Amino acid sequence: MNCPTDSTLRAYIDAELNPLEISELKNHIQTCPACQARLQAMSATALHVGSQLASLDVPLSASEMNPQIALARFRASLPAPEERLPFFALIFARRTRFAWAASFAVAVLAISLMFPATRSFAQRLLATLRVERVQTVSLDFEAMSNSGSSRQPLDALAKLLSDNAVVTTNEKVSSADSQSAASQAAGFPVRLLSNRTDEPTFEISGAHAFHLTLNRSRLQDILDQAGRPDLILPATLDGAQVSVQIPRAVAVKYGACKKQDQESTDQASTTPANSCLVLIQAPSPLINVPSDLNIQQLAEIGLQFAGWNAVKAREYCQSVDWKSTLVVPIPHNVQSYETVYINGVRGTLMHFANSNGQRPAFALVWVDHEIIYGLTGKDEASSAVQLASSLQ
Amino acid sequence: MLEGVLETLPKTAPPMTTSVLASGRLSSQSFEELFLSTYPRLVSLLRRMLGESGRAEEIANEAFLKLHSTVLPPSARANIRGWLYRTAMNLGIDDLRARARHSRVAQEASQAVSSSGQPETGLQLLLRQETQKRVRLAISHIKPEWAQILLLRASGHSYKEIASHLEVSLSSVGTLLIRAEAGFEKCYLELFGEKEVL
Repeated sequence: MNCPTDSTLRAYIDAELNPLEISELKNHIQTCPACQARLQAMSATALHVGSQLASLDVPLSASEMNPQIALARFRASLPAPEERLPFFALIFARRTRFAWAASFAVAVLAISLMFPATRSFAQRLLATLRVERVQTVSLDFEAMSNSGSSRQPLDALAKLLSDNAVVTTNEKVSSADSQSAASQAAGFPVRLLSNRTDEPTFEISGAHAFHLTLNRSRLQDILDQAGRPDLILPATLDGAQVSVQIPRAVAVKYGACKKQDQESTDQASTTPANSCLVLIQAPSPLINVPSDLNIQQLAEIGLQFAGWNAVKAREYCQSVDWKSTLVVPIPHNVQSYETVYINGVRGTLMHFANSNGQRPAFALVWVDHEIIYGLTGKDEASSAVQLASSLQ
Repeated sequence: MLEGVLETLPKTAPPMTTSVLASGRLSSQSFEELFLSTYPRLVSLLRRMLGESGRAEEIANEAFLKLHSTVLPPSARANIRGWLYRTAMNLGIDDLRARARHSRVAQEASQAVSSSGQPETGLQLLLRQETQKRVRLAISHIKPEWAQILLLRASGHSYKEIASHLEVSLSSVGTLLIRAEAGFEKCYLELFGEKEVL
């Protein structure tokens, strides 16, 4: 046997060699004075440093001895259900982007009301908000955005967002020519409707990420202008940071569908073309916010800001699990909506009005394993659940 | 001669099959399994590093919280335990460095050089506490990868576990340990000008 490497000698000292290696090494060392010297020096250092590090021991704690206790404590320290932001966001195309931005801005505003003066260890952490289910709210941001007096503060909020947001990721829309290519591009397994035999097209919305630092004085101005001077923002709001990550999403399109950049914001385009069926699959967006906030109160303020009275807002907010709920605003042209189940998962099916001589349309939204699904089409809504249930 | 420095083979953590959802996060069941199987040894390591059980548990919780709320990058999904250990140790090292910068640890440790010879009640305990301060200060000064491997080994992790947690080859663990020990001793001598006699 040749002289062993330092690594082998060190492993020998730590009894990390197998019996055969140990036997061979012992035999060699007995006949090699140089290796004996190396081993002695190495052992001395290992022993000395090991002893120093061994001096660092301190008594065990109860939870350390019992990880079940530690796990229970950990769960208790997780952000409370109220610490998830509502996502007042529909996932369908650009016509809802304003609503999303406005809702987010409202949420950010309300965050400001809950900051305490000091922060504990837990409060240093960020709450990461993610979607696990959907629930509806009759909230017509679209109408608000088109009405003069209501639109002004929303515009101001949107501007505040765009002025302060630092965009770190802003990918463009791309396309893929197969399910596997779409899955690879999106980073999650894209699913198809097995009820449809025609070949779909795949459109991948790019990932987006931004963070922003809140500006208290500007937010206060907006609140005042919105007729809510009673909401006084605390000084601690200034400089608070919020970050948003929106992963890539995939729109699987069956039939004759317009491309995203061909969509317009007029009434006729709020539903897809007659033969078009669109299945959107989007991993939950993540919003990191300071964890020391009362989301239920935040949501109440947001709803009041959107025109609800205080009692109604409170009642609604108490009915929602804000921890992980995608709150879907029901657009003004939705005739009715109902709760449905897609393979056991709760979803919301919206029936759009039959207007301008067009066929009725539907939109079905549900969340499964933290992937948000949206299915829109122009067909009898009764077929929506059947189609969605065929997802593979 | 050799038997005196041989260490008992540490127990290895049981293999764990983790289930990562399509969204890049750990499933609830996998998270719980990982927590229960990893927490004791992770806190033990952090406790050794930081010297306070409470702080060690806070740092461990912070690491688990990151795991709970983070979309794991594809490269981390195959070795989540390693990702967790590295994250926790980096948090611990950051904490140690922050304390060294902002507290009196460094001052106390250097002052202890001249005052440690005083015969007084509880001398052994005092000496041990001073040694701990010095060792932690030295750990906060050396390269993070050296601190990580030394603390993992001191906490009883096998070479195989160290290789897995630090994502290095098994055959390089011995060499890395030698370098880390040499780096630690050099740093200790630079800080305190003497070799601790234990």
